[in-house]
Order: sequence, then structure tokens, then C-alpha cells
Amino acid sequence: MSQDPSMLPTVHFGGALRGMWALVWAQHCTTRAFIRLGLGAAALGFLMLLTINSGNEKGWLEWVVGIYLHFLIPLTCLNVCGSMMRAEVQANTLSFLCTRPLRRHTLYFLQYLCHVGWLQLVFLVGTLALFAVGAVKQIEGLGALLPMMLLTQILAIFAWSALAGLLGLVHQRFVVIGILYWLVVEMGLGMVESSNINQLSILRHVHTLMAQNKMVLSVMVEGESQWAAAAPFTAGFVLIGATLFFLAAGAALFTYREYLPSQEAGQQ
Amino acid sequence: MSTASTTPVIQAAELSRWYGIVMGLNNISFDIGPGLTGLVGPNGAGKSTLIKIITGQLRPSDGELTVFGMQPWNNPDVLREIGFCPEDDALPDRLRARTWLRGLAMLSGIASSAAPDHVDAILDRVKLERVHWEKPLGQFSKGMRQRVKLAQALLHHPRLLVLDEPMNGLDPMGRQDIQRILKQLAAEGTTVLISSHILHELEALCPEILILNWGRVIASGSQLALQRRLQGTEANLHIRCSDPLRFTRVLFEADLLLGFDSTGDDGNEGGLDLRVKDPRRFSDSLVDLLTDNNIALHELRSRDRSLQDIFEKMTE
Repeated sequence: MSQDPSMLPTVHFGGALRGMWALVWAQHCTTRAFIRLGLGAAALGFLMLLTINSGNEKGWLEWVVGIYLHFLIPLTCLNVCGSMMRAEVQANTLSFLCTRPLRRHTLYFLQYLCHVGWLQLVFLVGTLALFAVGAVKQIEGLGALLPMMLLTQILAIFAWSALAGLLGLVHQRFVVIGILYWLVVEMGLGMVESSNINQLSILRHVHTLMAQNKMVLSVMVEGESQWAAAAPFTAGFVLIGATLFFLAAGAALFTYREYLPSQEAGQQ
Repeated sequence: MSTASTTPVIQAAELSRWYGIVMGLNNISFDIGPGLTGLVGPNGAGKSTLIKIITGQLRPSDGELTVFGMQPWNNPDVLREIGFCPEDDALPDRLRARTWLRGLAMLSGIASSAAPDHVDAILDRVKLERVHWEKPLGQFSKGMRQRVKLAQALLHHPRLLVLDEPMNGLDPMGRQDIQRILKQLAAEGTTVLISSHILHELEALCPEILILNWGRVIASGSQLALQRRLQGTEANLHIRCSDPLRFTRVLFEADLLLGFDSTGDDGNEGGLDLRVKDPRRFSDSLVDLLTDNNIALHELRSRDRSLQDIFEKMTE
């Protein structure tokens, strides 16, 4: 079984990504998970059908932006990506990953990419459900909105997931920390109009991207400066920059900090 | 522990590790060479801490530990050569054995096209029955879990295999299987480090022993050398001879006997358990004492041969 050192396998990022993909998807892609996903999308659609009148663009957009982009996406990212490493620590299965011939930051990137891949699929299904309801309710301009909606949610999922991954590494009560972050930075600092500190808010940049669509601009923007249609590229770059920043911070933390199940009790 | 002819696989120099104010390992130095080595110590001795440092899951607080000359933390070049089988039973219960191992194989550098056959070969090697290969790990018995944990440690052909309590939960047949596999691996050139509290199994398996207690190395080396070291002060022997009472008197007079206990019920031919002072002098003068006193020796054997005895004496 033992081999000459030169014969030992070299791990390439692509191969390792396939390996992690297989593990993460096998964990997520269960019949139960698909039933849950289907029921969730159906429940969302059903509630929208009940509460939106035909042709009521504002009502439909309030669901899309106010519920879906504001709450559902950030909370799901927090739950899924916050626990991607933390759950391994708590289940005492991290040693199986950490003893693979990979640098710790590579391991973290792999976990992030695979979990984000899963989330992108989940929210693609969710978005299609939203637009199906929109079509049933005869909302106009859906075709023009869909590309911008998909681009925005893809960027937002990357950013929220990177933040969630970092929070998951910081503390096992990452959900509480995430909600506090959301209240302080997104709902607090993000609403401050007298200073550029509001640029820290991810939601603000999500709004900016969505406002590139005429329907969103005409229905949602009135009197609210945070919905400015200006500088969409800046908003996109900020979201990408935030993703890279949170990802790098999480990778650095995972590289330098030891994670042991025995320490979990001490963190409580 | 290593000899001049073998390069140490694991070297620790003034290695310490503490958790806050609690000392896990206290300034220990040792070498572990190729072959099978047993890591022994009571609970809290620092075995798991040491294993986690060797496998790159923890960093030393002070001092240095190298595996194949390199530090293991965050070092793929070392981790590529280490297989680790943890003590804990935790496995990703929703995954099937094959799926899990294929994923880990790819993470270990096995090409995705080769991974399925590779995993099947490893599962055959650890003798996990084929009927269980597609079952979720959550349905596995403790013994099956041990086998699949060993399989994941062997995926990338490590040159060093570190096992924490690998016999836990295995039935006698399973233990024999694992022992056979480990011996085979050692014969093929893999260095195997086994932590276990089942001392008689380590005794049969590991010629080399490292004993830890309270975070310190209290003894290391071959079982034989440790035994000799202990025998420097006293030895426990069982003897059967033609005149046990006279023999004990002779030993007392020669200042060689610390104590004795008669174990036989057949009169003068009975056995004696002896606590002998200065075993080297005893062995040098035994023949003369028997001949001079016309005593016939029927049986002489050491009662200090077990690893349990070494362990108890070293940790008392």
C-alpha cells in the first residue's frame, strides 16, 4: 500500500472541487431536501397568489424585493453557509477533511463554492416560482426584469454566503450574530443618507442593481434615494469586492485558527 | 526510539501544547521510526493531543514536531503522506459509504475516473461486506464504522498511518482482521502509530511503545528494552523446582529475594511466585545456586512480560 513519495497523488483544485461537490451535493440532494424545496416554493407561490391582485406590480415587487431579496436569501445563505464548517466541527467530522492533502484555505474555498452552487440552484427555482406567479397575476415587464433579477441574486448570494461563512467561523452562534449584523449594518448604517457609510450595506447595492429595470425604478424608487439607478457597475463591483473580502477573511481565519469539537462547549 | 539505521518518521523536540492554563503536552521529545508503534497512556495523558498535532489538526504551543522532516499544520506535502483514523464514531450519516469515500478520494488527489475502482479496492481490503457499500453510514454498526474509517485513512496510500483506538467496537474477528491489515501495511513499509487502551492487543501488534502520562513521555522504546529497564531493579518470576522452600532460603541468603508466594498445592514440587532483587545478578548466579544446593529446576518464566505490567510500573 505504501508508495514512493514521488508516486503519491498530487491534488489539483479541479479534482478536489469535484470531490467536495460530490460530498456536498450528496448531503443536500436528498429526496427530503427536494420535497422541502418544492414545498417551500409552492408555499411562497401560494401566499403570493393569495395576496396579490392581478396587475398589481407594486404588490408583486414587494414580495420579490421586500421578502425574497431582503429576508429569504440572506437568511438562507446565513443558515447554509454559516454552518458549512461549523456543522463539521460540531459533528466532529472536520478531521476527515482537514487531514486531506489540501491547504486549509483551499478547503474553505471548496466548501464555499459547493455550498454556493447549491444555493444558486435553490434560488433559481425560487425565482422561477416568483416569476410564474407574476405571469399568473399578469404583471407586465417580467421578461425584461428576469435577467437583472438573476444577475442581482447571483451576486447577492455570493456576497451573503461569503459573509455567512465568515460568521460561521467566528462563533457557533452565527445566526444571532448574522441577524445583529443585518439589523445594524443593513437596516441601520445602510439607511444613513448623510454619509457614505451606507455603502457598507449589501442590500443598498442590491437595490441599485434592481433599479436598472424600468418597472422597479418606476414602482419602488419614488422618494427613496437608496434606490438610485446610478452607478450599477459600482454596485456590482462592490458586491464582488465584498464577496472577496469576506471570503479572504474567512479563509484566513480558518487557516490560522484551530477548530475542535471540544472547544464548541467552551464557546457557549 | 529510532535506531541509527532508520530515519525517524516523527520527531518531537521540546514539544508542548496547552489549552488555556491546562497543559496537554509538557515539553516532550521523542522519535518514532518506521514500523508499528503503540501509543499508550491513561485518559488525559495527552495521546489525542499528540495525535492531533501529528495529523496537522493542532499546532504546538511550543517546541517542534515534524513528520517526514516537515511540520504538519496546513502542509499538504506532509498530509499527503498521513492517513488518520479518528477515535470518534462521528461520520456523515446521510452519505453512503461509497459516495463518501469517493468524495474523499478525489479530495486526496485520486482522479475522478479512478476513484470508484480505488474505493472498491480499499473497501475490499478493510473487509467491509459489499452489501453495505451503498448503505447510508448512519445505518452502520460500530464495527462497520471502524472499517470505513480505516478505509478513508488508506485512500491516498499514506506512508504514515495514525489510528486512534482502531479496535473500539470490533468483535474478535474484526480485531483480527484489522490487526492483519496493520501488520501487512507495516510489512509493506507503512509506519503505523496506534493509540489504544487495549494493551494486550498493542502488545501483540507493536514492537515499539511510547507511554504518555500527564502530558509527558515516561517511557519509549521497544517492549523488550522497556522490560529490561524495569528489570534493572526487580523482576517477578514464576518458578517450579524440586525443593521450593529450600530454594527461597538460598535466595534470601544470597540477598536476591524481595518476597515470594507459594502457588502450588503439590508439596515440594509446587510453584513459587518470586519477587527477585537485581535480576541480572540473579540470572548470573542461578545455575550455581541450583547446582550447589542440588535443586532441580522444572520451570522458570517471567511474570513481567505483559505490556500491562510495563504500563502499570511506568505510570505508578
